[in-house]
Amino acid sequence: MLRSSAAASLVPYAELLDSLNGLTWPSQVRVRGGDPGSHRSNRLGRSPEFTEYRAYRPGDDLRRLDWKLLGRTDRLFLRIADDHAALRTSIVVDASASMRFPVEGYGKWEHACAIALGLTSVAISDGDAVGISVATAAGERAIPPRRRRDVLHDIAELFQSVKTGGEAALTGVVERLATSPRLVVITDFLGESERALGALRVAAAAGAEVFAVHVVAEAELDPPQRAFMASDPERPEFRRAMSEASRATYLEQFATWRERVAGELHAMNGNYRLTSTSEPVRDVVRRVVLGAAGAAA
Amino acid sequence: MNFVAPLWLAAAGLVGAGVVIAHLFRSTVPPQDVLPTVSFIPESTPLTVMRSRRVSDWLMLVLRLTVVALLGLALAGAHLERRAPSNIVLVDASRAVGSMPEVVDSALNAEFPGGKFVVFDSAARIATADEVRALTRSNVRGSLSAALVVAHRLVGHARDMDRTQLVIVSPTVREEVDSAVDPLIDLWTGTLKTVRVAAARPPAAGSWEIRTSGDDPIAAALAGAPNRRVGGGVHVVRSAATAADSQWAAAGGALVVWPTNGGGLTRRAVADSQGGIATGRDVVVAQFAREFQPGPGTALVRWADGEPAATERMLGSGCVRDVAIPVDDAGDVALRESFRGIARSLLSPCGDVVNFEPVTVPSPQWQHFGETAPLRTVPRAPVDTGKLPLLLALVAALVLGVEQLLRRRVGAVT
Repeated sequence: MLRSSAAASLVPYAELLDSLNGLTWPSQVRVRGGDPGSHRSNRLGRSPEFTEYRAYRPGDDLRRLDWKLLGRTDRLFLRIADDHAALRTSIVVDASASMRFPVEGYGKWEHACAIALGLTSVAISDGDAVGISVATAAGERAIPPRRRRDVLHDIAELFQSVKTGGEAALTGVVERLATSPRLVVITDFLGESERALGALRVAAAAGAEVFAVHVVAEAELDPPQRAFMASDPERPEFRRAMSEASRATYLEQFATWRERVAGELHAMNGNYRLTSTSEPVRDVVRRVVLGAAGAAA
Repeated sequence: MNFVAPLWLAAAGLVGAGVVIAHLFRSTVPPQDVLPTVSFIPESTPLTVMRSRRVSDWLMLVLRLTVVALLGLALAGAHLERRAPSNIVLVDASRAVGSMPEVVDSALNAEFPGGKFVVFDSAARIATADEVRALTRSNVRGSLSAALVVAHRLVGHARDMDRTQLVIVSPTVREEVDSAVDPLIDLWTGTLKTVRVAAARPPAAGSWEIRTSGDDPIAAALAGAPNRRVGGGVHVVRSAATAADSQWAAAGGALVVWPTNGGGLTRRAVADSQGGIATGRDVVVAQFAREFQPGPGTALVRWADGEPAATERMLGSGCVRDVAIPVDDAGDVALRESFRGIARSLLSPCGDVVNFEPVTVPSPQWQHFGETAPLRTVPRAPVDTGKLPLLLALVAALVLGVEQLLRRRVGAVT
């Protein structure tokens, strides 16, 4: 039985989780063998699910010969059956000061938390173990990979307890999880984008499925038309004036940077999804997992 | 209030006008807001400038104008000028004065409203008319230079120093005039007048005797000195002084210890030779071996390098004079008139050598004694502005600090 506080922590996400029922998040490639799951394994096993016959080659395991076929045709064939395995999924959420934007109301942090919970829900439905790591200025706060569904409550409670602020050690967390088979990073890539991309590149090179969910606020994509002195929440002393004259340049430079981040992710064969805080979380999760399904197909 | 460099006041006025004009333009920083993607905004000037007919922020304007004005005053060298007294009367009260009432009368007649009295003997002090009336003659040597220094301090660097008349009421004898008198008088840009009063009669030479053995050059040098008799008031001994000598000196005698071989004197660390000896009156140019030095006391005779060759120190009611001047038996130095003069000066009673000889003209300035000297063109000394400019600068810095504090508190650049 769930604790009442734990149950209450999921209430804001109830509608989202409902809307994601039946959604699957297949692996883009055959996963390495391990715990049984829903993803096709790179091992050819002995499951009852027949796939194909293959001619015997010296060295093959004789126990996998189809003796009946041998008796009928007097030829040596191996009966090939797919094995299925679970895919351990690690989700990293950035809790730096820049994620606390807009300061009031629904912001990037809330958006990132909802996306993380949605992806966790889908992955657990597939039988995958999901672990959450939150990169904060004070260090990493994590929940180890679990396959039980009640991990959703723990994650929701973790998100509630986390305070955003400062410069989060996102890169260090990504580097630590570089060996994870599936790595999802939900961040705004501000502050240390180059180092974070470098860590993701390492993870991709290690064979991980890399998903980068780039969260931007609507106010970042379309800043207020009035003139104001903008300051960086991670470095308050860094200030620049936004005016009519500088607005066009800002939009251009911001778009160019987003394209460059997307290009970097695509170059490392990763999955890049840009989402703004105005986009429904359900749609974001669908784009992430269905995009992966499309790639797998 | 006067200024050393008034041009700075004009500069401060221009800057002040600029400050006022600047306050007619209100420039503000736009409101602040957080934007994580601020680094994509190009660098630009954050100020928005608006022109206004009304002065903005009166308090800041006043503070800034105050800073500018204070700095202008400080750089202009503002200083408060002192007014020099109309005349300064130097009143001699030393032992050289023959009649003190004469001096007092002359001084009171010389002083007029706005004037000052400076009474001097060996030291000088400012006095009132009543104090001058009550003056009595002291028994110490007078120092005209000390009085002139006080007079210079009285006028300071006043711009109207030219109008200050300096009156010297004194017998102006030689013992009162030292080498500082000439330059001090040369520095005086006002008129100068002297009222010469009668000098005191020099004390009669006391009786003396010398204790020596054989042919002694000092005995020869003193041969012509009057009043030589046994039991005199001055004893010249050519050997180390005995306890009896000291006892005699303490009883009121003047003991001149002039040992032939330096006995009783302190031997110098390094012996050398000197090319002469001198008093205020006589100079002897000759080679003297300098092996000993006299004891501490008032220098009566000095070597050519300025070190004392003979000193006098008080002992009880009398005095002891140490003389470290060796005299060669074979030479004629002791017979020179200058050396004889020095030797005879040591026969004076205790309390310095008295010399009431009227001053002969030591400098062109003294040629005008007895009459009013004309104004002379003397380069003016640099104006001493005192500490007022520094004080003004410090106050300006303080006001500037307040202005900075207020500006930060307001949080806007205006």
